[in-house]
Amino acid sequence: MKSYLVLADRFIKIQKKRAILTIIGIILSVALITGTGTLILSWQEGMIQDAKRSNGDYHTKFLRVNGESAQKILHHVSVDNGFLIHQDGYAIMAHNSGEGIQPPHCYLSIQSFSAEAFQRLNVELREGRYPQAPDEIILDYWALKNFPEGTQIGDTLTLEIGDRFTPEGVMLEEGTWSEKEVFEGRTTKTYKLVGLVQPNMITDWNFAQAYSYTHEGQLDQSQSYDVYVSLRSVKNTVKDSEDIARAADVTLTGEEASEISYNERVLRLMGNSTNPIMDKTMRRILLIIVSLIVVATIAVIYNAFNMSVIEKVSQFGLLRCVGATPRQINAIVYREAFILALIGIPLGAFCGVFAISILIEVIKRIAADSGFGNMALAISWPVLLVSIAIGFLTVFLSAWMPAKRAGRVSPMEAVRNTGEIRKEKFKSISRSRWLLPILGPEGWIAWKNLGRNRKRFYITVFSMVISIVLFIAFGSMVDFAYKAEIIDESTYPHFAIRNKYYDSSVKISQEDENRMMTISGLQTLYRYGSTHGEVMLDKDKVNPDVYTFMNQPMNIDDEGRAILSNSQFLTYGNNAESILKSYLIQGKTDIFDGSDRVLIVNAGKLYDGARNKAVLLDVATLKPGDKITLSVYAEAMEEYKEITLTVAGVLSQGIFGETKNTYGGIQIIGSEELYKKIMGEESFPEALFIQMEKGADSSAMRDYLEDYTARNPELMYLDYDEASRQMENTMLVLSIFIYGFIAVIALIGSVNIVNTISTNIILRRRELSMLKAVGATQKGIMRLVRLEGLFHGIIALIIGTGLGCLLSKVLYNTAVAVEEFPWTFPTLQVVIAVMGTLLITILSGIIPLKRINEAVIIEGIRCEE
Amino acid sequence: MEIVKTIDLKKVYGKGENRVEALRGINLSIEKGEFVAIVGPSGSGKSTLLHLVGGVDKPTQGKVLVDGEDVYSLSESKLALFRRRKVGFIFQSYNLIPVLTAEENILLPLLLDRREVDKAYLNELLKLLGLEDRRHHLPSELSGGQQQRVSIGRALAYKPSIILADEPTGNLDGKNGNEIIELLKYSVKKYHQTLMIITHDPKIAAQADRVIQITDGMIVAQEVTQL
Repeated sequence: MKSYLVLADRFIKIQKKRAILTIIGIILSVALITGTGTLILSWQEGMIQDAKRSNGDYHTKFLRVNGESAQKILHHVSVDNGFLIHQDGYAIMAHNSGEGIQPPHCYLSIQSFSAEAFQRLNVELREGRYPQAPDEIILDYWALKNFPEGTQIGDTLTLEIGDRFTPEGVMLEEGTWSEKEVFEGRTTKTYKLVGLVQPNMITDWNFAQAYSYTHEGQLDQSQSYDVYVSLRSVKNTVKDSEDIARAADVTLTGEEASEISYNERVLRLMGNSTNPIMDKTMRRILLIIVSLIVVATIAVIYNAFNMSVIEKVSQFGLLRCVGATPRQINAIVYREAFILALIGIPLGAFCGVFAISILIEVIKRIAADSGFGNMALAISWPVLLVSIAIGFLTVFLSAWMPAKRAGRVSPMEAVRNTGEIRKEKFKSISRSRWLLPILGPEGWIAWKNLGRNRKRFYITVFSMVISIVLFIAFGSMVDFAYKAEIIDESTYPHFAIRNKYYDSSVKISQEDENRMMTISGLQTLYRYGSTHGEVMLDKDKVNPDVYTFMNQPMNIDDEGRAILSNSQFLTYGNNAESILKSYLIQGKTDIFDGSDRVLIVNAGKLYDGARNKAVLLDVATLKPGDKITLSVYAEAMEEYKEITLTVAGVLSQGIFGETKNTYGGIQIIGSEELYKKIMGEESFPEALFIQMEKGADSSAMRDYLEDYTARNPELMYLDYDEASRQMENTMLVLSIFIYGFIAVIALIGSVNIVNTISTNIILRRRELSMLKAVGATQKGIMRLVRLEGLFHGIIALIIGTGLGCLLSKVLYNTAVAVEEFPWTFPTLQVVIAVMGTLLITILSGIIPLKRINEAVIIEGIRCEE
Repeated sequence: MEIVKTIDLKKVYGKGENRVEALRGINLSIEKGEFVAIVGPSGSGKSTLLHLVGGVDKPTQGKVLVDGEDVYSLSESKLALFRRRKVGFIFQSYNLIPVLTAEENILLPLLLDRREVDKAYLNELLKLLGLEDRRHHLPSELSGGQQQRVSIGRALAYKPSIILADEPTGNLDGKNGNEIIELLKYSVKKYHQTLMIITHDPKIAAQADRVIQITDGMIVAQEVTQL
């Protein structure tokens, strides 16, 4: 033995199991920090990719600038790279019949892109290639049917290009149209068709997109361009962009002025939103999460360390007996800490990164289609170094107190053979016996045990509290994210069929519908109907805040009931139960028996103009069993109808894009029969929604719909397939991230609880064996240990849920700066925390107890702690 | 009447090089009401024998019969009842439950049985043990002699038929030690109990009905001192 310090190594060797437990604690903690850092970075990168994919890959765009300014912008020193677009105008593809409400013509909307723009704005090719010359063009694949039969890639198209005007002569912009609009041609141009585009979704068959090519080097000074740029640095996006505009002589005021706009979603994800409040909020939330994790980590490692020192008290006493100074004992503890840290920390960092890389690989496999498909593992040295530093710091902080304690061990501790008794203070133990008949002898002893070692009691409760707080706070924050629509849950059906003119119902024979049902990949066919109307209800059940935000008084009818105009009455047919059920928060979905029972959505979204932010709030507080009166105009029957409905259940939100109520109305969802009874058979269904199976090939369905609508020209289909699938994948990935993170937090909490409780048991092995020696049964001991864990758990839960809810409120106050929504008590999280904690406290005694039970009693009594 | 009988009792600890044969075939019979002293050098297997009789260890081979019943064929919970009701254990290091008061420690076997406490007997016991004014003190507030008396009280509380004492006076001075032995003798006589005591003290051994000497895990001599 070279030095007394070698004792540390020996201690580790002797207490192998304890050392391993401590190392696991360190590994988990460091892995959590590294993993979180890596995950946040990778996720951010993934989200940026996703945002770039849906919003375009640029930071700032300058709209309507002349050719000269465009050149200056692209070559500005602050600009990293850029591309531009020229709005060429419209070309008529076909003429509409004049029936219904629609523009008089079907148009091609033509834009010229510079080379990079195609990829950066995600123009996805179905076949062919991108244009490479100004006389080449690509178009939405479905637009071909408006050209002569047999038109294909390689053919030439001659188009008269012009603009659309209202009868008053005002030019119509992209996305607007009028029934009486007039087309004025400017020029005729011949293009060669080189490719077909797969649009993300098709919702308007009157406008198809076409893209030609423009060369950045040959800009026409008389034309105006939209210039998209990525900046070298996004720290001062707004200021830099304004500087660029100034340098490029871009006029931002007056008529025909240019305009700067920002790719807000991408910038926000890069942590540089143009909205300073948003930025601050995000950073603050991140900081809170990371500090919570660090605190939890310290609790775990400290705990593990403390336990290992407590276990060795008598050995330190012996060392003191033979003349070791407190300083030498300190050194032994620190050395032990250092050795364990040296093993645990690198392993932890590795495990953290490794776990995330597996996670990302899994995500890529299952969600290749979403923006996360090209997500890459972001191994960042700063993250690794900071994690390792935090790890070491934590280990030494954790070892500090136990080392001090070890140094203070008096030599007498070792000499005294009376076991633990002298080490603990028992003054505070309750001596009353009133709990004895309630808890039974074992429970009563368990209760008394709580008071025997204040410090250990505090540590145990503290480590549980940390886990509970972390779980509740983070869980409720995820809730906020959903509520505030930071995580957008709205989905669309993959396809919809409706009347072209929006003024009549879809007339599809039962046969056709049945045929549709047999097409491969179809999951559910929803028969949709919707109408606007007024809802009368008890005015106490209406949230008065709605009228404050809308800045208007509540409408009251003759009977003193509140009138909610802007309400919606909908049905999704009788196949909708399972999808509706997934949003049910109260009551039942048993509305499909044709009765007057309905589901309602209380949740609404209003815009608070004064404070420039959206406000989420419940418009009404309707509950199952409440009666409401619906008043609608049934067009098909040409009469007003008033009908009393009973609320069967409450949904958290609506489905298929109609998620939240706007303008202070509520949503009522009924059965198909109820809808027909009120609105008449004639008007139903207004549309059919087609939901495809997950991962199913949609081409058969698309071909069928294409063919079907060709045969039934008054019908059209809407194609949300691509967008819906991306959305579903994105949601899946988000869930994996969120629940993965929550799982890790729960795991860390569990390890901590298991560690503390099992150590508490192991430390008292002798005492428990003693109880057995005087006749306590195995079951009795089990009861004692379980109850002791349970008591700790209950006390921790009382404190933890309180603090967790408080922290949830603090986080809410931080988040609410961006969007306002009411804070709700995190009931679900609290319930899970309570169940989880109780379960873990009960379970964590099992393994150490087994050890005690398997060993013969006398070994337990003999064992020296 | 025979109350304890061991048949070819063997106990081996450890494996391979560390193998220790603590008991190497003990055949012993103890009559009800007998006071037996077990003597022998350290490590001879005295304590192991006592533990095996008391049902807190497990024999490698052989049987322990108490009242004709094979102790180690009992189920785990029956064995617990056996320890609770039939046997009173007194350890050299008192092994009290630190969170329970003197009185509660004494009553522990009764509490575990959820039995009503016989107040009169308890008071008698406390008086006998000289703990009347210490009954509400925790073990940490008691001296070594007092703690040992509490542990004797615990062993006697159930009026068990067998009392097993492992060097009960080992940690006590002479005066305290004598008191303890007197106490045990008094109880044994009064309740017609059987006492097995391990001791190094020849004076204590001399008071026993029989002295059994164990060396190297075997009974090497039995000496009846009083009849």
